[in-house]
Amino acid sequence: MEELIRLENVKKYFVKKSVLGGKKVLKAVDGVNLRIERGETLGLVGESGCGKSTLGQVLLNLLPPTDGTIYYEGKDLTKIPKNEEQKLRRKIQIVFQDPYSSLDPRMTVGAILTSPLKIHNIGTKKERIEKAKETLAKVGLPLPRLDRFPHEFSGGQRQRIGIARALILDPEFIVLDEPTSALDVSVQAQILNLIRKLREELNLTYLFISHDLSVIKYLSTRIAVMYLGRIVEIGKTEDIVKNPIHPYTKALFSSILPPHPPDGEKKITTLEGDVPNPTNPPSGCRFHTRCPYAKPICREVEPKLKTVQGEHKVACHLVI
Amino acid sequence: MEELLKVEGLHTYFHTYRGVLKALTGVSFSLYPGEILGLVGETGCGKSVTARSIMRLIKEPGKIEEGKILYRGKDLLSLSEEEMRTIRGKDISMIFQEPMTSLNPVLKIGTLMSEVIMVHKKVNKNRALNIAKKMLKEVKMPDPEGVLNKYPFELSGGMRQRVMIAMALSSDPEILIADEPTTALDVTIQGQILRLIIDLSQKRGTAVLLITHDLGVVANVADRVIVMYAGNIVEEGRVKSIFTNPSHPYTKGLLRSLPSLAKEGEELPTIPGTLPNLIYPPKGCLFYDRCDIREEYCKEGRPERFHLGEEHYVWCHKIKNEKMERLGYGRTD
Amino acid sequence: MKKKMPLTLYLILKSPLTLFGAVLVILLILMAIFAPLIAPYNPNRISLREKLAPPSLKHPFGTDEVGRDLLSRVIYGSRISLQVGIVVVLLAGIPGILIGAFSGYYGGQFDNIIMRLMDIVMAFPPLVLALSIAAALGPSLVNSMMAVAFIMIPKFSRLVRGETLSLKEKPFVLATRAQGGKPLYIIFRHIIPNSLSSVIVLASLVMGDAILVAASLSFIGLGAQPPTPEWGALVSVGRKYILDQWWYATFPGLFIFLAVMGFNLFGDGLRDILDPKIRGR
Repeated sequence: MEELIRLENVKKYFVKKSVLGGKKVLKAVDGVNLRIERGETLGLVGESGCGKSTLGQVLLNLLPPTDGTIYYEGKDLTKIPKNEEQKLRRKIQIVFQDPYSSLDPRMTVGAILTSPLKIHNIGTKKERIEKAKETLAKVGLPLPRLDRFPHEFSGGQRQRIGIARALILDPEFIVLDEPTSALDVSVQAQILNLIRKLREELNLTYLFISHDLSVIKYLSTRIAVMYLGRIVEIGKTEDIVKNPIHPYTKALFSSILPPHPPDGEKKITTLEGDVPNPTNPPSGCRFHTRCPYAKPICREVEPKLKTVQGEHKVACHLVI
Repeated sequence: MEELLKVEGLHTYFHTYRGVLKALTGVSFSLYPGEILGLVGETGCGKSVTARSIMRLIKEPGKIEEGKILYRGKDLLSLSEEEMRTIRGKDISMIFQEPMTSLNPVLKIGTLMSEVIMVHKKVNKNRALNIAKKMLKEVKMPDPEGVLNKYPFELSGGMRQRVMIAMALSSDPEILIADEPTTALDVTIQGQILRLIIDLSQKRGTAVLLITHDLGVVANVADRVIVMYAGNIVEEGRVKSIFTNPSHPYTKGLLRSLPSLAKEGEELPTIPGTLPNLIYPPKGCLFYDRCDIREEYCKEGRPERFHLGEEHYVWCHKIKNEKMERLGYGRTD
Repeated sequence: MKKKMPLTLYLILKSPLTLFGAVLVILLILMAIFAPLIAPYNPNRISLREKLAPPSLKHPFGTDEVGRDLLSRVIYGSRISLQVGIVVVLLAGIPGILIGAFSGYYGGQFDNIIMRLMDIVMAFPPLVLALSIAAALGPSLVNSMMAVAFIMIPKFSRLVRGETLSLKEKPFVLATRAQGGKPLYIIFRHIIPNSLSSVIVLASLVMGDAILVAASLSFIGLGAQPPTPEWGALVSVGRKYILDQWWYATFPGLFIFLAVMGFNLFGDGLRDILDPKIRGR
């Protein structure tokens, strides 16, 4: 498999200055190493505040990393010259969660879709409109006229427009940041199918970010689990699904509520405690405050990602 | 068993500038003591409007046009605003999706809670604070004493929802309406709150009307389920029979489209189409356009409640007709 | 946009105060446009025989010290006031919007310096600042408009800066950045168009303020010079006769009041109407 993206020790800190002169550092992403192969879908799962969306934005060069390097096809994204950056921008795209705030309410669908082409000086006006129509057809929203505004469309239709915008520059790689979290189940299924179909038709590579493990596991070829700015487990989907090792991954699986009622007594198994504040993460293993198996060492030493088998890696002291 | 709350033919409309939006058209159901009733459906199905109608919290331009909401036989719609206020929060409490917006950010949790308790229990401040502490313990809040001295923003989303539940239950209501109580929370926290709701309902015997879009939540928490679509109930039954033996094509479609049941590589079954326009709704079954078992006659008139089996009801012309034919009654239309 | 107009109209009709403001504003505009048609006399026609005549059917607002018809002068005065309002809004709005958008978008030290400059301008009482600028430039209508425009710039730039700060984090802006959109493109394509609804509200409020401040400048002799029928200047001259010829200062003053109130009510109402939370219903 060919490597498309490699992250080396990527960190993104946000510094918050308080009025009283104090400083708080929020370590949203804290030392992430990751490889994304061409053609795969890497699912990135974690709870809110774990840094998964920040990681997506760092990858797109929307936020400069505090430390670390991002390679795209072997080229260091952080040190790329301006003219080449512009070319790379065509290859990497993003789809956002909220189908409402991700489309400019004052622009028509036509303007939204042709503006990326305009930015890159592609085609004549007529060709751009043709391309926009073509792309809309590709995402299953064929429109005869492009002069309608986003508010005239439903959530699912808007998400299709958002996907079309990401596709219009013929990218290779798309970051999907919770693309279905704001949608209803029946619409979610349509969008998930579309995302899957496009991957096959257009040979796309995805980073699929979500808090919903059932969606992640449906779509991804590999899964990375993130907790408080760190990757705690990563591996092939079947390995993670069949044999989750990190206690946090296990907890995430057990907190999926299956759509069938329990036999006998109602019982819901879940983690205890709250997600710690990322400005002040626990020492040692960040998960030790909620881990049912925590040992003294977990409080002091931060575990490193270790290979369990093949590509399956876990950061946990309990794995030898 | 005698029902605690009985909703009969509830119609709630919104008078918007585009026209009259018929958000609820004839919703009828009962809530029994001690049960958890799940009200499930997608955006725009009217589940939240139902909850707000029961609490009489429908704001302009919305209006309850028709129907009865009987609480212990008393029609809440005939009460004065004054009388309703004593019912709200005392006999029927409600918790919302985003607990932050329902908590005044400039007051401490202790003040917020004790004020509510003082009103409903008619006790002094000290006594109220004691009750607040007891309630926080009951909702398994870590360090209840400390929490009383904190402001809402100092608590996490899960903790705030615990505070809301503690407040809602402090007046020993008979009914708790929970409107998407875990939607804004993380998955691991969602489990904690749901478990709390189950425990409290079992321990205190509070009847819970749980409103959610999440089929997994209803399946694991509710005793009975009502499925809503476009302002109507389409199916009602015990949680077991709804999930193992769904009848209405909409219920079936919803369950099929869940990614947790699909295998990687398989296409997810979807429900084609979108919600009907509720300003100019069609005359017949509202699900007609999206239905995979529709017949010509479904376009005539709204389907009525049809008894399928033990406590299992469906609102569907086709199912009713087939069943009646099989029983030898012939077509009924 | 075709679909939005009826909604705006619908909401205006539902709010009596906004409607009242809108009616005043529209009347003012009509008055300015059709001044030659509705004014009964030439505003500068002197008729010494009729000087300081009280209101009558012939001269509903009376006449001034050289017998000019006050109603006609007030009607023509609306042209000047409206012109002042529009020129000030443009002169303050365009630079204000640009300063705010760039300052907010680029942020950092640049933003800090710009905003402190704006604070300095805002720190002075507007009338006093306008007064000193107008005095330095020399008394004339044009100079007073420039002075008023200058003091209004920070209002626009602060508003647009605030809008920019929230807009630049919106996913649709991030998406354009991710696709290689340059800051200039983003500012003109996304930021400014999306700030315009609040700018329109402010523009309406500033119109009222500008008319008032410009009239005040004329009143103390730093703005429009007699015999221009500017309302402030009319009041200024009429003041001398206030005890015996009350109508001279009263009618122009009343029109200043109505115009300012009209723009303020309309602007306030518009703020609510353009609020997406209200529109969403």
